[in-house]
Amino acid sequence: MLLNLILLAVVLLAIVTSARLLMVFQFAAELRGKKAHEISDSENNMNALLTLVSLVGLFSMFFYLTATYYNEKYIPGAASEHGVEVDSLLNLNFYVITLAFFITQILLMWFAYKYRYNKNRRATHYAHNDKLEMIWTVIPAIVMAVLVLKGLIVWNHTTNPDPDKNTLNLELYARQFDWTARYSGADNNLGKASYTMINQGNILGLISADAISEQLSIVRADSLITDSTVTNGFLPAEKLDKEKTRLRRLIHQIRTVVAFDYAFKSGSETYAASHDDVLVRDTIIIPVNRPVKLHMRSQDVIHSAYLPHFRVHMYCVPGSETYFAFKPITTTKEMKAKLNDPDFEYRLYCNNICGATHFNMMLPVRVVSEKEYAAWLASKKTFAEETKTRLAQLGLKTNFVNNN
Amino acid sequence: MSEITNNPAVEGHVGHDVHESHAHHHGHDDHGHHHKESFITKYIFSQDHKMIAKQFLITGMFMGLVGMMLSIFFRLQLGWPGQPMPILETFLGKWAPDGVLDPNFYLAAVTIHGTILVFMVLTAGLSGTFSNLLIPLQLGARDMASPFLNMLSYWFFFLSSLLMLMSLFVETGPASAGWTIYPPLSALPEASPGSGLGMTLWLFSIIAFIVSVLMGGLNYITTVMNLRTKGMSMTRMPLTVWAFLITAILGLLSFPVLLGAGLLLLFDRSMGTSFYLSDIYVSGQALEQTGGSPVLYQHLFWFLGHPEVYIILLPSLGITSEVLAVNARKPIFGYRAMIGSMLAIAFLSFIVWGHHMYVTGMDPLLGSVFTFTTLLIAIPSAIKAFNYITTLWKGNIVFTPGMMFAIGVVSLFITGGLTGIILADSALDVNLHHTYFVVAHFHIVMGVASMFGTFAGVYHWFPKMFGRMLNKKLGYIHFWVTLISAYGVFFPMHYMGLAGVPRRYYQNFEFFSGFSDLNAVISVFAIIGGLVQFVFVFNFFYSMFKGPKAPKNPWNASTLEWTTPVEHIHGNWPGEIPTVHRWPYDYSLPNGEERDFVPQDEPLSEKEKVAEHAH
Repeated sequence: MLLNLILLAVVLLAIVTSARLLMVFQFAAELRGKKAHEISDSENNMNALLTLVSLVGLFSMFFYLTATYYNEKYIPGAASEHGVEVDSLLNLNFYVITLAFFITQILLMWFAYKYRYNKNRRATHYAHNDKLEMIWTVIPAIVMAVLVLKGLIVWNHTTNPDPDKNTLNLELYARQFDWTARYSGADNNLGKASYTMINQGNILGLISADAISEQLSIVRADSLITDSTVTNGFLPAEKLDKEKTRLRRLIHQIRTVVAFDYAFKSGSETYAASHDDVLVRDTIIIPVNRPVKLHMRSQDVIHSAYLPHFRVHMYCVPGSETYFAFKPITTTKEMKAKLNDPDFEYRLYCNNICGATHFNMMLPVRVVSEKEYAAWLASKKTFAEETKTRLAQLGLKTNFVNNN
Repeated sequence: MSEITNNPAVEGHVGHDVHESHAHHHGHDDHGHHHKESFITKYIFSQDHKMIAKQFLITGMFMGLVGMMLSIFFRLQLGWPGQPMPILETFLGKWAPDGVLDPNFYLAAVTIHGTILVFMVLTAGLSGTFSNLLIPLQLGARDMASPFLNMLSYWFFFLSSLLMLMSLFVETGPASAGWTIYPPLSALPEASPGSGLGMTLWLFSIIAFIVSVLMGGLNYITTVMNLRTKGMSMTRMPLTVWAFLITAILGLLSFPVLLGAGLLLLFDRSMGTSFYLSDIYVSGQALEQTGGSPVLYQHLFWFLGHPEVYIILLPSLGITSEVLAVNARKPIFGYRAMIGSMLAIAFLSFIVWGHHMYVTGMDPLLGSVFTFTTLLIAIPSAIKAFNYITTLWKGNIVFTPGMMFAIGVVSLFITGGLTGIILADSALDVNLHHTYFVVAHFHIVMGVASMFGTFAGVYHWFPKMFGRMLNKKLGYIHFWVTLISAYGVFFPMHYMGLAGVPRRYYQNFEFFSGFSDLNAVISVFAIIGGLVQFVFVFNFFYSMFKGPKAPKNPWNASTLEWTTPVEHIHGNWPGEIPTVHRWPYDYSLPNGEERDFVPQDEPLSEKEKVAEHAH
């Protein structure tokens, strides 16, 4: 506290002193007959010179930073098929804008220096020149046309990859503040899911006959407790309101789960596609040279799945599903060798502000050979097996018969 | 309220209303003196556009300092993650226990910094100040079309600023969902503590702000349309006024959409509607809302958000045109092309909003369309840049501090604008969206360039506002240190972005091949750049009271504002308002005179009349 007071006093003193000093300077300048609004020759020359120096400084910074950071070590080349195209488009764009950057900055600062004030000279009254203006309308227009066309071609390749039966369907599921990857299993088909099916065990809200029984028992119990709290509990008004809201939401939830149950029991849905799905929460493993179609969902707020090495980025939007397909072409092992970094990992980041620990929402991604991938996936438990275990803990009967 | 006539050709009706007596008979030469103004009517609830301009400027400056301090707080965290900084605890108390910024408050600081700078400083502080000051003065009007609405516009802005500042002191913290406040994060207090009362205050603040912008904008447009003095045709208006006019039109068409977006968000937050909410499971409960779309909010937000970029940038470019021409002692090159490109930019700004949303899951075909429209903006922007450069060519450049900042605007406009070509391209934006590349791009082209435009305006028109001169030596220091630190902060960020470093990360930069060092360097530049702003603030307030007295026309400019007396009077001109005979850029005419400018209100010489007839 004392330190702060002293600091405050020092700052105040500095302000008062500077003001006094400035008044003295001003008075001295007035005595010498200098006018405050007139810029002296030395001031003009000094600033003109500094303009040139700043031009050199700006370009030096550009060259230094480019030499240091614009290379494989800091910005590794793309590890996906479309990413290679994106990179070459990016390079083309960089050539164009760097050229424009140099030309315009040199002209700007050189003119500023060259035409600095000289009382013996008069500026040239030069108001317009249609030909010149036409030139710098048409040239940028042509350059832009080329860039737009090239860009749209790459964009088309990125968003409409050639259909491939072999494409792996993989879900990235986001919530505050972690990722879950869901593999589509042997049927390469991601089972249905609903947010009303979410509970502590079934965090993705997948639907299967077992999951429905589990959820019904959980939600019904929950609603009974909440109901009794609302009717019998002596709660302060604010808490009571919260409990009432909770009850309303639970009732809505039960309705939808009952609907799933009915759909299953009436035979209109089998909800079998989810059985062989595999959930992974530590490392995402994908096979090299096989197209992957990412299906993205979110539980709560907007997240964004960002895989910079693959040039892949897509929002995860609650209430709808988004997609991004790409084909990894470099294995993690190859990348480690290429970058000479034994600890290298591809990573999945969240890149849309999603709350306090947004910065921690990431997962390593490993690209391996098809064989390694198959062996790894086979070692994982399926969703049906996991649900069965949980059902047993709840003392409920399973509908699921393991065919394997 | 008395009827206002600014046209000297029309016999002016003498107002009886004491507060509204700008409409005087020509014969009156004691404008503003015959009625007493109290402190309150002169300095607080003033209806004089010049005083309102100063109110906007000083409020904007104060908000600017708050926004800047917030950015320094989070730069301390980013430069040296997790290291205790006692100064943080001094300023932020419980938000920085033991001097380490709380992650939630980090996000809040980022959010409020963005909101304050975009809205309170670069919209209200810039347009509010210079549209108010210059539209009537440069058009030869006695005041705005509706001085009362003008006063209300300021007070709504004041209310908005106050609400935003209040939100900093809320127990659960201020809004912290980013300045774009994307729902559902901004809609659910369960998802983020800042989405509680802090967000409500944010929304109310922005609603007040929109009211302010609309009242201001209506006034600016009406004034430009109706209150131009005799001879001031649209094509004789200085480019500043053109810029303010186009800015006001943009604001009038786009801000109501933000109001709509904000209201729907308020409904979702408090009335259980589901405009933006669907299928959400948060804090152990499944919400009932289904069918809404958070992407709808983004469409609405960016329908304002993109024109907003130009609402911020155009006034700055207008000021640059004026300051460059005056100090290069040359007409602005390609006056009509400048107007045309501003109109083109303004039109295009309404059909490009989707380039903020390439990775939201929007239809790729739509992405192609937005790529095309966005890249079109490069053409009028290039015209502007080349015209600025040609204005300097064969000029006789006086390096006033205002001129330095104007040249700085052009440099920054080019540097930042060029990277926009990359971000506009949907295929390239995928990997750069929400990275430091974007942060670098928009800070340079819209943030720093507009800030420089504001400074150029303040240095150039300070003598008009306060009748005194700013200290130029301090002005030069302010310019050079700010320029160096601005480039030092934002230029390296491009490289971080290319490496894929996401923005709004609190820490974890070690995952990106050692950008930690660069981050520290950036923070050092940010701190230096922040500190030097206090030199400006000191210069501003010192010169306001103690600076050397300004002459009537310190820069030998030809526009009308310099024909008014140094002492401010309500009604601007004692006696008749001037008649305009020529365009605003008659600098260095080859007419054999020693004087290198001809004021707009000076009748054509015999020679010029002959030349005119010959056309």
